[in-house]
Amino acid sequence: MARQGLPWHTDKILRLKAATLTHLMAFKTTRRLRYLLSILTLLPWLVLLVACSAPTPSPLMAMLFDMPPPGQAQATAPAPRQPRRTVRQPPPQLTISKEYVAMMEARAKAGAPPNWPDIFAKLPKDDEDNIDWSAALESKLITPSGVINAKDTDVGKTSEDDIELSTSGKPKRMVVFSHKVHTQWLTCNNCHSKIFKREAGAAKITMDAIDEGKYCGVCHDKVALAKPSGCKGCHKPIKKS
Amino acid sequence: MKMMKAMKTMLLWLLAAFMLCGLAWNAQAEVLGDVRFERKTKGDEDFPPAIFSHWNHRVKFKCYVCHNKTVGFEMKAGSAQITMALIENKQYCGVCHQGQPAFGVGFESCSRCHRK
Repeated sequence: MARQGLPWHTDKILRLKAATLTHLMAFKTTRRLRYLLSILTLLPWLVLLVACSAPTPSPLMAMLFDMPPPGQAQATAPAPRQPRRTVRQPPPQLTISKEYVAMMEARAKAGAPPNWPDIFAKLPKDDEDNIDWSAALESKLITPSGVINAKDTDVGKTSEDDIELSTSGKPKRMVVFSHKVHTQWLTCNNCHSKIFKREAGAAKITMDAIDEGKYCGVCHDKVALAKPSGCKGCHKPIKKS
Repeated sequence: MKMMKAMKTMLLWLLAAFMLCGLAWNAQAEVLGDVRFERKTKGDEDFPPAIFSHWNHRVKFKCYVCHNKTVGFEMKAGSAQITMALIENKQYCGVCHQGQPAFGVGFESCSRCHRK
């Protein structure tokens, strides 16, 4: 678009001038902006430097970081933080079944439970169909333990001496008490001194007393039987030597 | 057909064996040394009192394992005042019957002691 009365290139010059001016102006603005920006970027770092180099935590630090302001004690327990996504928990049925499997495994490890009817059938019986415990011991069919746990120490004591119990009647039917047989099962303080005094012959044992559950009768005919059953178990005829 | 017959006989034999086992178990219900505890609380008729059988304990242990001052069983039957609370507190029967080494107190094991 030409202007009247002016050389043909005026327009071009004007246009050029305007362009340069705009350019210059733009250049100036960018430089200013750049200064401003550099200051703005440096400022937080400066603030940080000042805040961090302060000897005591400043309120500025509290504002910038996740910490209590000065004068307020640090919370002892950190705030619970939840995972951002929900972690899948195994369903309760699975936990229960796992426990069950663990229990069954422990049971399998412990071995099969004793088959009591079978054990009972195998135990030797005496002439009255009661369990013959001394025969069971002799045949090594059972090896009763003296402790509950295998690592415990056995407190049981054994004795070998036989006690001849004097009899009022027939000397040939004298009862000979064998410590050896009894200490296979018992230890000293099971009988001494509550049932029998430690001195041999101190107790006046009668069959009536035994039937009343005293002396030998504490165990005999209740859990223990003489062998063979009846009188001859204890009142054994002594052979003449 | 032959197979079927063989299987049938086998099943019959198995049944017979099971029944015999049951009979054997019933036959030994009363063994010398069984201690039937007297129930001090009510409900004796509804729920049988405990029976302690000496024989199966004697298979594994000597007398003095239980008849001592630590466990506390005297040489006289019924002298120990046993309660389920004491057993759960690992006293008397509970010395062993706590799961290890012997079965513990639980709903599946009531009838092992409380039986007729």
